[in-house]
Amino acid sequence: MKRNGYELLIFYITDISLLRFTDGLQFFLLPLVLGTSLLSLGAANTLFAVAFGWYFYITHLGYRGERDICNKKRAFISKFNSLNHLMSQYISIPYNHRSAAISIKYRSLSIPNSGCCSNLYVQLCGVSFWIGFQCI
Amino acid sequence: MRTLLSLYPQRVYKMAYYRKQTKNHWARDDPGFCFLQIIMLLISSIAYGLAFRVSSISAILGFVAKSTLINWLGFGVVMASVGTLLSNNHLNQASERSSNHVKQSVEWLYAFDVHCNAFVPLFVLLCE
Repeated sequence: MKRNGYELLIFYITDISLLRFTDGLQFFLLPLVLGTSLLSLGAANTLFAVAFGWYFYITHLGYRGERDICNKKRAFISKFNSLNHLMSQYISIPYNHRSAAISIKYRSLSIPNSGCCSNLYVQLCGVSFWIGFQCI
Repeated sequence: MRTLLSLYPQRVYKMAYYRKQTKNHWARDDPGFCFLQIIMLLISSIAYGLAFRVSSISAILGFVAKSTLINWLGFGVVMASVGTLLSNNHLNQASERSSNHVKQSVEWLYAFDVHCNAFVPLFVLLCE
């Protein structure tokens, strides 16, 4: 369906205002997030974990879009699998297996792809969660 | 942008694939998406400054500069460079294929585009 410029402008403004409406979940949750209770800590950590998980998931999808990369490469997979194993064990020590569970969850998500990019981004997700938990 | 926030963000990358087929490059043609993100970052940074009752304008400007230049641009440049290097050096299998196959590589701009795409939900959730 062909639309004229005015209709397109209206659609564009509606799109932007819809996005602005959902913008900054953390901003609207500031009274909760700035608290010192366990609920506040849990909410803030969950928000960061979801945001960074989503970031790395979309990045992973972007690199999977290129057809030549992300095919099976056994040496690379084995190298990163061993690193993943070591990392998940290392992360799980100070944090009572919380991050290891996240890592396993992402690994289970990446099984149908069985591509090296998935494994790589499992590492990056693990690193980001680890850094996030360290900072918080 | 709404597609990136939906449950099927991979639809965005179909456009990149079609662009590759028609224009022979993966990255976006125009920097409009980046400008839109910069404007949103400016607005949200000023809103944060007002919400936290920052007294001086220079502090707000500093926060705007930090969120735009470090959180968005700096992090994006680092992620795009690391992604390009890793994917071209370790993940590319074109050299192992037949000689008829055209060698593909990940463009740095495409990697930065991927960062821009991925930054949208991060921004919506955290309003960096």
